[in-house]
Amino acid sequence: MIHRAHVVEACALLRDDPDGLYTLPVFVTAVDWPDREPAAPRYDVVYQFRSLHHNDVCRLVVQVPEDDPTVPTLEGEFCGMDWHERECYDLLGIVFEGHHDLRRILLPDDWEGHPLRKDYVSFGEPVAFTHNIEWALPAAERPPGMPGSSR
Amino acid sequence: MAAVLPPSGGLPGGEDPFAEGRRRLGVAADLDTVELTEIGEDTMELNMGPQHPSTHGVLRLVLDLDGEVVRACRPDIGFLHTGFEKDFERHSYQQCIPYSDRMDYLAPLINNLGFSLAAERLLGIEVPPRGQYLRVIMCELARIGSHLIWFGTGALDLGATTPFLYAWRERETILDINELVSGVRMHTSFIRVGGLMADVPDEFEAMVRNVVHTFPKAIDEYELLITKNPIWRQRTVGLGTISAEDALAYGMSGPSLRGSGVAYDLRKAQPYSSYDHFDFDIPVGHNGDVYDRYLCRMREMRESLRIIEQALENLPSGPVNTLDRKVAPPPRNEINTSMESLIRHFKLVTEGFHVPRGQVYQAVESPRGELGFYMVSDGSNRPYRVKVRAPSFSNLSALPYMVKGGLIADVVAVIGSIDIVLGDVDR
Amino acid sequence: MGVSEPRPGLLLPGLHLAQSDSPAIPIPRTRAGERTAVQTGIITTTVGKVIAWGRYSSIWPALFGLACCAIEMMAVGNSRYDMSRFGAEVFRASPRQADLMIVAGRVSQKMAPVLRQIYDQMPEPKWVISMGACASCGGMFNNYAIVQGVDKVVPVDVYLPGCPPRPEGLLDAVVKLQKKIAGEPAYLRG
Ligand code: SF4
Repeated sequence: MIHRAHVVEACALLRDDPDGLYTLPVFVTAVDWPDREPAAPRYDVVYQFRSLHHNDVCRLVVQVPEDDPTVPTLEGEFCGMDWHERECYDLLGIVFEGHHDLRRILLPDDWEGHPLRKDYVSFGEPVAFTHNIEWALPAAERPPGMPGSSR
Repeated sequence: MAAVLPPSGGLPGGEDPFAEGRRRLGVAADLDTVELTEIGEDTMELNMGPQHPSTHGVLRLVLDLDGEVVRACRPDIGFLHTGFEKDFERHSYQQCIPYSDRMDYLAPLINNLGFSLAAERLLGIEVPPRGQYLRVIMCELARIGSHLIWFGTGALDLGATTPFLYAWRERETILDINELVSGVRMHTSFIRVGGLMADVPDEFEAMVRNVVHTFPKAIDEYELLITKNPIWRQRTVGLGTISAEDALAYGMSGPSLRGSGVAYDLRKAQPYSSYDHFDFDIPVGHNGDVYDRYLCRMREMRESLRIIEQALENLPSGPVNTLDRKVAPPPRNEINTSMESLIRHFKLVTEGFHVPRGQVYQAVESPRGELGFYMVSDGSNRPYRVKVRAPSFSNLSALPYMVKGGLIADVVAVIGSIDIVLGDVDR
Repeated sequence: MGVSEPRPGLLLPGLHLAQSDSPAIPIPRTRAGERTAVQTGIITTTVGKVIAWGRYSSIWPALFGLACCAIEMMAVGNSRYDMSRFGAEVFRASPRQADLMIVAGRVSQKMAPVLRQIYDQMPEPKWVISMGACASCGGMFNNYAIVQGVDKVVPVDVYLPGCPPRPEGLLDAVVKLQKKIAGEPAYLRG
């Protein structure tokens, strides 16, 4: 676990040090812990690297708070991080400062919200059981005001 | 510079011949004003996909072309984004297994294995040897099946129709085995947390032996068709080259990395599920071009057959599921006789098991490379967060680099050679 | 007549080829004493039936593989299941040459506009088979990313459940669609 100010340095060290040689960027992602605010920062940004020389993996965790979810980009160190950072921004809203092209990658450009945050409600359609049987009705018979109703 | 056409049909100084038609249709005269914009610096932007037969799914590429030469390539992905990681958070561990099937749908069993191994490491349980060996056999069969699809479609993209038909003919025998053991052809969910869905039936051994005996001949046949075929070589040798360092920096893995000469295979480097019991080689290429990646995969199929043969020879007897009753459901005959078992079975099916707090990263070697599951558990019966490290995602991110400066016709060959599955890229 | 060995000039036992007008070979007749359709070269039918016959006997599907179901769709085109037995094996890459769209797989929110555009690019008459649970109703992915049923985007003629449906299932769907086309009045579509 390190502070975000040292991420770039630390990763460069891991990559270049002869005892490390973690040259393969595996992924970067984040884990959302909304319940532990404000005692601890909300997001864990997780970096994973692999060293082929020493046949080892290592994981770095950077904690960032909710109101400022930014970490510096690692694009300059590992070009393979480019897409992973974009994905992390897209799904979790972590901002990678200095990334050359931080756009949404998986979701459409006009999407709102970041679906892998815990407070994002993954909508869909309710499954019709006896207590909500109206979801099984055809559009013309659904009560007015209900989604999908044509009345 | 923008050239603006006069309101269409407006002949210079003459009558508008379409005025009558426009009046009838109620179209305003200036509606069909066309604006022609000149494209700067002689490049043309070409959109390829998302519905394109050679992008292996729904990949969209925006290519900047200078004549036939690709100046830049910008992949646009996400057309198959399914929200697996969100769905994992809403389901109990055993319920997540069918979801994991559908990510990399060419080799579903290997996804099952990755997810199960990650959960098993958090639980601290081990699967008995017979279960591990059967997992290996099924995964290697899935790997061959996946490589067969890659072979068939990749050759089809370059205009060879016969390999496609041959490869699918062979693949059906693998699907028959899937069907025998689990009842389903593709999405078997056969490998579960704690072991397997069930032990294999008696015919299993004969069918796998049949595969081991007939496939080498079939692979010979494929190689006869295209390995030395001059057209195939012209379209693949020296194309889409990537050096080992670049491939590593892009995070590539699997046969796409081994084609560049890096002998790294997770089955050897960090053996899981008793892969260290088997004797097999890691095929590597030299040049890192399309042809070398092709050769790697072809040899890999033969190595997989070797592994299957050894696993079948030494198949231990015994249970296939872990004996830890907190995870594995009790056997059927016990449910009939013991109330305890019935209750436990009911609890396992409705609620699932609770996994201790912790986080783990478990990677397995999928046909496309390093498939990793980073799993965080908060002690409940559902994963708190699962991040899937998809091999195709990283491999695809190197595509712009590989096709830059090449011809547009070769883009298709390069896409085929990195063997992406869009379900894996987009998740 | 009970002829089993085909003789020169015989098409089927009892049916002569076109040169049957030559006096050397006797002209067969039906029981009622009329010539058969093959001899006269005349049949009577309705225009609608001929059009429907043309439509259903050679359906050209558009290549619209999205996800896992597409793999089974490709299996149907291959040798074991062989869709060409039903005249529907000519998968077209261009929607402009196709009249059947087999939506094989899950449709994400990002893909839905593309799907609709491709549907609009297909010329009339056109039909849609929604293959798989995902395309039919969202399947197991009841979440933010997947369109809950492709019928929210395009009209569907045949729903094919299964995850993925077996190749036999897709063949059955094509046969059902052929029956549907055969029963449709020709003027209904383009
Ligand atoms: S229905 Fe099943 S097999 Fe078909 S696309 Fe959906 S998940 Fe894949």
